[in-house]
Amino acid sequence: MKKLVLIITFITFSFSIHANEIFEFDNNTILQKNIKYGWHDVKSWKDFRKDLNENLIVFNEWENKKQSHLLNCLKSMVAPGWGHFSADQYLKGQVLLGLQILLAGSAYYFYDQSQDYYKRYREANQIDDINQYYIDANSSYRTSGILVSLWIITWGYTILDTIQATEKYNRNLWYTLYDDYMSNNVTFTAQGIQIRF
Amino acid sequence: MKKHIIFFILIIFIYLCIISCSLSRNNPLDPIGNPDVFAPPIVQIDTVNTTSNQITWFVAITEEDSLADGYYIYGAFQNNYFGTYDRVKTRVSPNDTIFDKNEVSEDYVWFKLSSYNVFNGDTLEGKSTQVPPQ
Repeated sequence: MKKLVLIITFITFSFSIHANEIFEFDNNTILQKNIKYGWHDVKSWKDFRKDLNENLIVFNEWENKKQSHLLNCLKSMVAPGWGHFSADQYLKGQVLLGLQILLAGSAYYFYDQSQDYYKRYREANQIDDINQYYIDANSSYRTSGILVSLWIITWGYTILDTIQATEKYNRNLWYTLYDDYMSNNVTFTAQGIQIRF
Repeated sequence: MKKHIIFFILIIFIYLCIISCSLSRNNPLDPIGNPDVFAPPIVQIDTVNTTSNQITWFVAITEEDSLADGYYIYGAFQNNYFGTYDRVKTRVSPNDTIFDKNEVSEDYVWFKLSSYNVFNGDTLEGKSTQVPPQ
């Protein structure tokens, strides 16, 4: 009986060892199928790693050359259009700069006119002059106020649009750097020389 | 999106603040800005007693029940009916309501009249009235 049990045990283990030997080792069997990233086999995984390394090289360069949103916004706050000029959007920068100069200049013109009428109003001693100068002064003053409001709106829009312009600049910069990198077979990096085939 | 909404609310607030602002009426002779000041009465030409050489006028009593403190008489040359008028005479009595054209140069052909009141030493002049051609 004991011999029988021993024989059965031996045969069972023998089959198990043999069963493992008949299959060849396959990388795909030990890889978890990752549907999210589309890694269906080792090749796609390795391709992805290669792409990732290339992207990281371009990313490092992009990090050094990209523009800061905050800095460009500050530029636009100080001098309207400056942020756009930095982000290579010259036409838009010129239009916004011109518009703001026009609005600010017009606002100042009407404010100055209102102060002139207001001075005459304060010095007037004839009832018709008093009323007319006050109406003229107030009209110019309100026109100036409207223009100042429009200027503030344009100023705010310029700052907001600077964010978009910087975003666009950085996006284009990425594509440019990536295209440059892909078009060069030999790349000099901090780690050494990389040759792509 | 939220930032954009906050930004535009801020802009509208600034806009309303600026629009609602207006200049103060701080002329001491402005009746609207000073309740103690009232517009001088409008001079009316007494067409019955006015002749080619003499102008006679009167004023209606104002709401404040006050006559004018005096009158200004303006004259203009022949071709200057719609142009500039020179102040040619001043009447300092409310009852002195007659003007003889011989008192001034005969070059003055057209005339206007206005009344004035004095408030705290400052003179406020009322609306002027054109004397019709005789």
